[in-house]
Amino acid sequence: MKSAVWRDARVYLKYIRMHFLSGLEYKGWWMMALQVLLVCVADFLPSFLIFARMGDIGAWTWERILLIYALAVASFGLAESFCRGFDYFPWHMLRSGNFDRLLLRPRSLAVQVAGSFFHIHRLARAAIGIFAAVWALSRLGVPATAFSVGVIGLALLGGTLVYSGVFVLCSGIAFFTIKALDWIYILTNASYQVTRIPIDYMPGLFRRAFTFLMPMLVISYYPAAVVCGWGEPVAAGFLALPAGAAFLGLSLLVWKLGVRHYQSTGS
Amino acid sequence: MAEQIRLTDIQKHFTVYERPDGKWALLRAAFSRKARRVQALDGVSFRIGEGEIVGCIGPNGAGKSTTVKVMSGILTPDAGECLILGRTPWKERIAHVSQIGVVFGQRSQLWWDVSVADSFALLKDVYAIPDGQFARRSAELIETLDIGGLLKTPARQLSLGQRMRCELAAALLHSPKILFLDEPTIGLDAVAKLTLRAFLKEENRRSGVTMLLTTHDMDDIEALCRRVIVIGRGRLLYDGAIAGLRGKYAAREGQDIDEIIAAMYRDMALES
Repeated sequence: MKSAVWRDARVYLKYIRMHFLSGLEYKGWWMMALQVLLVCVADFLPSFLIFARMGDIGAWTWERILLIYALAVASFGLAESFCRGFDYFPWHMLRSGNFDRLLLRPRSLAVQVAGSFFHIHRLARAAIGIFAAVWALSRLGVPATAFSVGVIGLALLGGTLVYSGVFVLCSGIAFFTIKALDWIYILTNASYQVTRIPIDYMPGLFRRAFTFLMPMLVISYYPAAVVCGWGEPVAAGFLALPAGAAFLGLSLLVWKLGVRHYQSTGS
Repeated sequence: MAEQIRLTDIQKHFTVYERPDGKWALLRAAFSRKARRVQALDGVSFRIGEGEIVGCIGPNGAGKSTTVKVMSGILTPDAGECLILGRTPWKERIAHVSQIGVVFGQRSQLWWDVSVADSFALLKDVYAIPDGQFARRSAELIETLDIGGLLKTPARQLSLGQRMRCELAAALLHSPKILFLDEPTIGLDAVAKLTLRAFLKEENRRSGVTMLLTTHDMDDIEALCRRVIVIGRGRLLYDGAIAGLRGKYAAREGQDIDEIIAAMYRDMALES
């Protein structure tokens, strides 16, 4: 059992390495990275401009919003980089019939799918997210102690699991229907936009949905609050990893149901 | 001769959705769709022993590929029993697939953008082949398939014939006990077909790998298989020596094998 997990990990790393090297051969990769970078900056620009013009909203400065938002974006970027295969799965694996081939290989299906695509330029989103978070932390005067680094590190790890979970969930649903997949954007690109709303002004329904259904705030707001001392219980800052693992776990269950459905109905 | 494959009364249906036709068909299709049940396999049973080469023929849509998919573990049948090397494919997927090799003529298992050698190296890890065994086996396959000169080429730049030889090597790297080939000669030129047949025959003789191939090319069957299975409308119509088919359907002496098969297909259509 242990050796199977180890072999799966080894295969995953080999796949990523292969995609990375063949991606480098494509000379335009840095242009695409730049493009992703610009999109990320442009995304946050409106928030910054509003704050610059209108001033802070109570205790909420633009640095605070940036920190929370950056944690969510970095998590999304990391998941998008290392779980790209699931993001692509419904279109590039399922519809093409290439999934059959994965079923014929003696390795975990999830690992094979996760490693089936990797795009270098997607790392740009992760990189700028992490950079922005660190920058916001320094402007907010948070020292780089073991505590703060630990909480933020766990937040990113948990966040990566949450977003990987979203892609896995989406792929699982794709086994049943391709048509109903558009609403999944609420969970991907739209979800981190939510983190731009100062939490005190966030409608209760949103707040609960993005804490308990999809633990967005658990991986962004709460760790940020605990590190900066905004009056949330310290324990809440450490929930990112377990929440992310739980979300990914549930998504994997849906995915497994999907695989079983696929094997019994054919493509 | 030990038995390796045993299918007993395999049933499999698919649901296909049809568009309504007539007036406002497109609009109505948006709200309702008619489901139709298609029985792809309707009680298929056969056994294959170690080291056999069995050819599987049948008209398009007869259920050949579905049979291969059931045996390789891609599809779970509705009913029936399938034992491959003592295992049920869909219940023990990982143990099962590490013992078999599958070649699809229409699909590649090589990674498109990387060199053939890199694909082989990835498969080494996927199948967890020990270093020494991999070195020995790959050298052997590279030599017999004459693909030494192609190793540095990405799969997308290979001709179909070249790619097929590399596919065979890829499917045999982990020394499977059974090899399934789904239309392996499709689209190949005469030289490539002959090379492929010679290789399969030699590989079967040397390593004793059991082979089941589906094809539409009767020359494949005549060159390779002593035994042929005919599947039509989801049923097993014939299982035995190719000479038997000749006896049953050849209207006159020296009739071409393709004509015999065509006569048989016509016969089947009349029967039902």
